[in-house]
Amino acid sequence: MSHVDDGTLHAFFDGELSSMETVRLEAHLAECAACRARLEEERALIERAGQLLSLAAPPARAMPPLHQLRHPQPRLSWRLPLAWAATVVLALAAGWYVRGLGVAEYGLRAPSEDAQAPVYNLSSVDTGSAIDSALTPLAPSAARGRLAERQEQAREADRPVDQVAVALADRAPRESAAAGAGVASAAPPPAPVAGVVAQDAARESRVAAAVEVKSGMESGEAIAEDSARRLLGTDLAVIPGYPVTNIRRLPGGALQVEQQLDSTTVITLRQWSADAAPDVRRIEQATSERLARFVRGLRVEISGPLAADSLSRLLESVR
Amino acid sequence: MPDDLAEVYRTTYRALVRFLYRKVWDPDRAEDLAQEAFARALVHQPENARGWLFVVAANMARDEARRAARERRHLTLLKGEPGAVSRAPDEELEQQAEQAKVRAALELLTPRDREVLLLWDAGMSYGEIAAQTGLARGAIGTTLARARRRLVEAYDAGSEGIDVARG
Repeated sequence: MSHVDDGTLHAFFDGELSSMETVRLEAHLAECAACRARLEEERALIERAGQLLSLAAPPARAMPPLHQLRHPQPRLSWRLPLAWAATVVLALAAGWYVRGLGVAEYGLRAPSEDAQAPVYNLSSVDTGSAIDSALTPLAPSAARGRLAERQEQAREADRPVDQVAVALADRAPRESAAAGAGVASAAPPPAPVAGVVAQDAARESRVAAAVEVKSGMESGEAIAEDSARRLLGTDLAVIPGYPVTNIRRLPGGALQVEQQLDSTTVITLRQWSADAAPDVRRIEQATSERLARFVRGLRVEISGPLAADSLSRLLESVR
Repeated sequence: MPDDLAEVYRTTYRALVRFLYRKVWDPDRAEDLAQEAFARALVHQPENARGWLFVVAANMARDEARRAARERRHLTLLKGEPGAVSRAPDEELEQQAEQAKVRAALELLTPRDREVLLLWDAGMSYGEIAAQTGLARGAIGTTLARARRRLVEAYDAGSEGIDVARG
């Protein structure tokens, strides 16, 4: 028998030789001093490579229970029709609301043609899809078409956050939004932070609109960091190096941390424990299309008036 | 009958995190991706869950690397990097330096050698590695022998380089 090759020796040490191959190898080693010497050499090499790899091992951490892992959202679920229904209702309600209150009283520019009047549509949380967080200018008659088009875009891109508006301000709680009560279109923006920044992928420009949401803007009570830590059972997940301007407790038990990136940019981190209560799980499902990750057993979602790539980068720095 | 995912999770999760960590070099991201892979497995219920998980994880890590490359171009948007919050103790720094050397050495391997080595280190058998990489089972030992030798050589060469630079 000719000398054994390295591969056979490694397979031998890796326990991957068949019994037949092992017998043949041992027979050869018994009569070949050269191969016996190499045997020791390869054994040392395998051990050394293993040691090096273990130097580059991740820190040992607890495994989250399997059933608490995030479930990817099925495409085209029951949420789509719901989203449509809610949007149509809201568009109608908002139109009615604006007409009923009178245009002049609110300082709105009188529309020259009904069909071109911008109506801002704030959809409710429970419709789930990321697009529903968008505050989208819609002409009432074109509402269905535009929405469908945007939803199509969002689905095709598989990266809804890229193309869809990012809600900077807190969204209205489900009741008020669903009723359409809290929606009003407003004058040009003097108060960008209180509003919503919409990113229109088609035009690649950002359209800022100040929107007055009558109720629910301040949904979630502000709480101190200590209480937040107690609620989460661990430290808050934050982007290191930027001041935390607000911590809120949202309905359902999730926490929302707001951090100031610069004078006009506020980043929102929603977070909750991975072993959270069922009603938090519902929020998780509703919003799982957003940029999110797990940090130390917390589920953290990011939103803010930046491109998705930048948000994603920030999300990665969250500790 | 699909594998019992709970059992696969118990036996494979850490190996998958380790495998991913050597690709993304960020423990949080590695865990994210591993959890995402398992979450997908829960939906898809693949026949051979272990193999399926590693294929999905490898793809996700590759996408991740592409995304990271794209994001580097967007970084200018953010005004400067936030400063380090706390200084790591010396021991940790040393560990990081060691790890950086191993990482540099790993990156000198050919993609195929590296993949085979990482899969083996994640606990896959030669048969599983062969199925995963498309290599013949008989070629795995040879590939591993070469990968291990190059890893050690590259690491030692890197260490010498650093010593020379320090001296």
